[in-house]
Amino acid sequence: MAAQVAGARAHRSPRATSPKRPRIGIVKLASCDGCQLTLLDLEDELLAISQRVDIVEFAEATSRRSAGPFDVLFVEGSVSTPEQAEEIARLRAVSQILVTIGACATAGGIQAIRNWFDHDDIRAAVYPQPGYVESLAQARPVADFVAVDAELRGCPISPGQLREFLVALTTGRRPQLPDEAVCIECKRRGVVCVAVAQGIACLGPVTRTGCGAICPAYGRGCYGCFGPREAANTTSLATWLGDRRSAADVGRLFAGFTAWSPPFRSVIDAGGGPPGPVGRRSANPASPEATDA
Amino acid sequence: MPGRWFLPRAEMDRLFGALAADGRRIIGPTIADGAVVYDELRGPQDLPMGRTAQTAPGRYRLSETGASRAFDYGVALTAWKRFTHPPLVPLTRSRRDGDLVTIEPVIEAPPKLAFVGVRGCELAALRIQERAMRAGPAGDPDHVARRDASLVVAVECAQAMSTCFCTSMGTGPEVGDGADLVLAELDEGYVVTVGSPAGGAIVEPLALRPALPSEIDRAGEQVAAVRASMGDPVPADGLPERLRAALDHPRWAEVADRCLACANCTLVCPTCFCTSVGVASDLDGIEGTTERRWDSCFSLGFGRVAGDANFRPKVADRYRQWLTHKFSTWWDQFGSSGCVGCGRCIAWCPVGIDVREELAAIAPATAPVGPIPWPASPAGGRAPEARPIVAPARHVTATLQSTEPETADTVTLRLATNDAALLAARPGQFVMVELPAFAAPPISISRIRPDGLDLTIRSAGAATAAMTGLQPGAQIALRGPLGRGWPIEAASCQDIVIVAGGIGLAPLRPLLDAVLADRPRFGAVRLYLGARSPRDRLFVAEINALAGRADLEVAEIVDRAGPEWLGRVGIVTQLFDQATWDGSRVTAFVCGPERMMRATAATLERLGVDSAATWLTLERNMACGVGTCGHCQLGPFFVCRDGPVFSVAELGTAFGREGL
Amino acid sequence: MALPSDRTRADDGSMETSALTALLGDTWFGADLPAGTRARVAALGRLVDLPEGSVVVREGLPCRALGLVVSGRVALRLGLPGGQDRTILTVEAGDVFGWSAVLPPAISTSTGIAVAPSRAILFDGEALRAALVVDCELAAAVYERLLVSVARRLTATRIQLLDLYRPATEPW
Repeated sequence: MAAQVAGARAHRSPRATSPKRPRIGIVKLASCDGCQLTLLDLEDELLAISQRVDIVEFAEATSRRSAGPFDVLFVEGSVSTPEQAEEIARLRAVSQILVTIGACATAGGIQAIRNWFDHDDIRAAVYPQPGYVESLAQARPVADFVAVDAELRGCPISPGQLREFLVALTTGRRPQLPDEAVCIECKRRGVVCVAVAQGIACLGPVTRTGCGAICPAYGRGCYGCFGPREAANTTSLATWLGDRRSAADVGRLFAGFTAWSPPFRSVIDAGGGPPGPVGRRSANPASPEATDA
Repeated sequence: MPGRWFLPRAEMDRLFGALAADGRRIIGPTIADGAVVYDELRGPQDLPMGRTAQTAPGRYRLSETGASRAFDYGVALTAWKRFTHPPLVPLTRSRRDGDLVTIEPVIEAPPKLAFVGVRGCELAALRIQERAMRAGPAGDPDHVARRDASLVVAVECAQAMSTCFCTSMGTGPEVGDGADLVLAELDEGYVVTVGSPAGGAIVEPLALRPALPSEIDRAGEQVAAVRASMGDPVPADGLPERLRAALDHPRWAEVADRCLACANCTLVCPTCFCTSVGVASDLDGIEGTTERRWDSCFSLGFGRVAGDANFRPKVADRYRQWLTHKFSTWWDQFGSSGCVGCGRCIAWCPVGIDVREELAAIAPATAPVGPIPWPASPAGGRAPEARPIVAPARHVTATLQSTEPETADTVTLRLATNDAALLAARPGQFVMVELPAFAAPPISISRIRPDGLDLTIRSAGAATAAMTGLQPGAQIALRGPLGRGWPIEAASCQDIVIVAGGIGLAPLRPLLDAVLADRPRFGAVRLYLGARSPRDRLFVAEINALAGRADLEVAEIVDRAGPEWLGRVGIVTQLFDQATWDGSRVTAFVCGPERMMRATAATLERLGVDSAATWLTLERNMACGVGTCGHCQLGPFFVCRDGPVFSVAELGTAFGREGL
Repeated sequence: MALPSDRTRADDGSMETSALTALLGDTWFGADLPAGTRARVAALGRLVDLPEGSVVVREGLPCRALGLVVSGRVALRLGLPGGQDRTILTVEAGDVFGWSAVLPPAISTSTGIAVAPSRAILFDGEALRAALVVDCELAAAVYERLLVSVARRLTATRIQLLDLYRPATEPW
């Protein structure tokens, strides 16, 4: 199997070593299903894809089931329950290549906002009988639990990037998933910068591109659903935004689908944390708590 | 058609009509989403009537002027490069039929366009970017075609924005030469000056009346008022030298704290030209396409090379690259400043970084000019070489005759071709090697034969892994030969020292071939080879045969070995650091990891070898190989076309300086 | 230090100090020494033949002599479990091995093996150490040269540590 998706690995010609039809699995943890759907969104190529690769597990789309082994496993969703923590470890052991897809799996997702709050309070606020609900104190990205070979970001992921990744797998070339700011896409497309021309708060400069700059193209600011890019200078952007807003409001701008990513998290913390529905803040949101109450 | 003419405002549509009658689509300013952008205009009704813009660092706001003038908006967001150097350009289509490979350039006949509203600074920018696109050995035929298919209708500024500084950069506000037509807007219409026969041909059928002296005077006063309102915000005299001497200024780190490395400044800049190549294909890599996309020196991947190393990992390095390139090394490369003072980078920076302020902090007019880190004008200081001009999209398909595994991860491909340009390659040149559906890396030619070339390739990534896995009979596409090769003639009557580290022996082998083919011309020839271990040596059988020759001294050393190796163990400089030969008679040729080359150059210098006679070959990330993608820049040099062979002397402190 | 065989000792036992002094003067180590100092150094040494494969010093064992290679090559090896010895450096003509002899506790840090038929001048460690205490001029000359040699070796070792030729991943 083409092994050169991330990190330094020995490179072998894929034609010599790859199985004819790689076994693909698509699974989910705590998530909305939207990222898995993106594969089905590749309608025109779905037939070709399903012939070129062997999709052995994809509960959303086929009744064919498999517990592994997988040549490539796509994982959607964050780890939010003890069950999921065990499952992801099991899945890692039976997968050659593990790819996290989407903001939940790569960054914790919107559900990671609960990480700022007291676990008991949150559960009590949501569930009438919280004792029946088993969850971890924090919803965390998959990479906090197992080694991840590659990631596709987004909320949901981009069909173009998914396609590029699949083609890279089957042809043996390195997937082109550039780690650039959304601004590059805006400028290539000729979209007028909403931040400069209208003073709208936009996280584009610190967010990884891949979406094709959808939101700015419709006149709204990027809310960072692809997560921070490399060298994301959120401190500087937060300072600039803070000239016209309170620190709490600036923090709120970053408290979205990828809030738990460290560069965004630090801005949220500087603003006193995300707006919360309930009760006490967690004493130390950054400390890993593996078990629930 | 000399002289000046007058076009009444109400007749502007006649000018539009004349341009359309010339088969041109009209691109000009119009309002979109709160800014003035350049887009296709249906007619003068699409012009931004009665608008102006207020700009400040990180801020752009349109406002109404109350007047019925169309060109008071200052500088639009879009740069004209959007049409001469588009953001996405298809490059090639490729196909793999079993072993057979075909790659064809995609040649799009560019649309005939008319650019209406080109400012003085923008006209200068078009000229500057044109020079950059045509300066390499191959030029960019797409740019040439698009520029030639555009007619420029310049419009002189009647309003400066607070972020403009064209006066300091010598590009405005007056419109210089090169426009086909120049308009100066008055309330009642336009003073029209013809700038070229093409412009004259547009205007002549309109039978305009001559402009009145009072109209011409008012136009002149208008632009003079703009000039007066701007002053001279950036002292440009001596700026290239001052910047070059300030590479270690603490301000770089300070601006890096603010800079988001979002690339907006480079993307709105009308002269920035850096691009990358994207690859796409079907699931089996049978049909592929490549396209060229706007990229930026601020992107992480821009400076990345082998070993996942990055020449500009820190944002401070990238900001410094951008600013010093724009205001300093652009002079070395293209003979002018890269900046035209349009101020877009100031207005459209999301955090309002102002280059005028940064320049004043880093290279103020009062700063003493320190030692220059590299000699000036590499382009001017060296005699131009006669190089075959290679169209960048000219792919030659070569067939693999045989493969020779050299080490566990390195294979020599013996390729057959009868392409005259490739067979005329000189030692030290390289080719861009392309397989359909893969990115194309630069690979040094490791042997030149009458019927083909050798490429010694190390499998270190997806594309090189695919190449080293090819079987005889397979085809591969080459572009080249490219670059400046080893100056063998400079070593005539001299002693020669060749120092190779690891795979660095590959680009040196053709040099050795050439020297041995003409042996009497040279003095003593000494070959010093370093490798990781005995099993990582290249061309073992050949080297063993060479070691037996009386007219050649060969010494090998490895970094580590087991007990079966009875040769030397240590680093390659230990082979000659205590040598007693006369360095003043030596021309040295060195290739290996950059650190090894630096240590070698230092050791050779201690032995008396002139740094102008010490030649090495550099490696950088390359997408085009012909000086148009911008990736391979090192200070003032394009490694692909000024190198990859350089002398230590001409590199100066550009060699080995961190973050350059 | 394993002593060379009696046969070779008999061969070289007759080399006069003056001849040894001259030989020493042809090496990097001895070239710039003042004549008197060179003679005093030579007096402490004797020329030996090292047949190919002979072990001149063993890692972990007492190092009894400082060696100066006159011709041939001595490989310095470190032992690894399973008999996987690695050669980490070779000493060519003009360079020294066994500098441990000069520094207490005079235990060799590597195993030295002649990988080619070699000749070396061996300076008796105990005698050399004694001389260095009383003869300041000798001490200055010897320590300086040892420092240069060891520094060169340290620089090389650091570069070897960087493993500059190691396999790398490229962006393509």
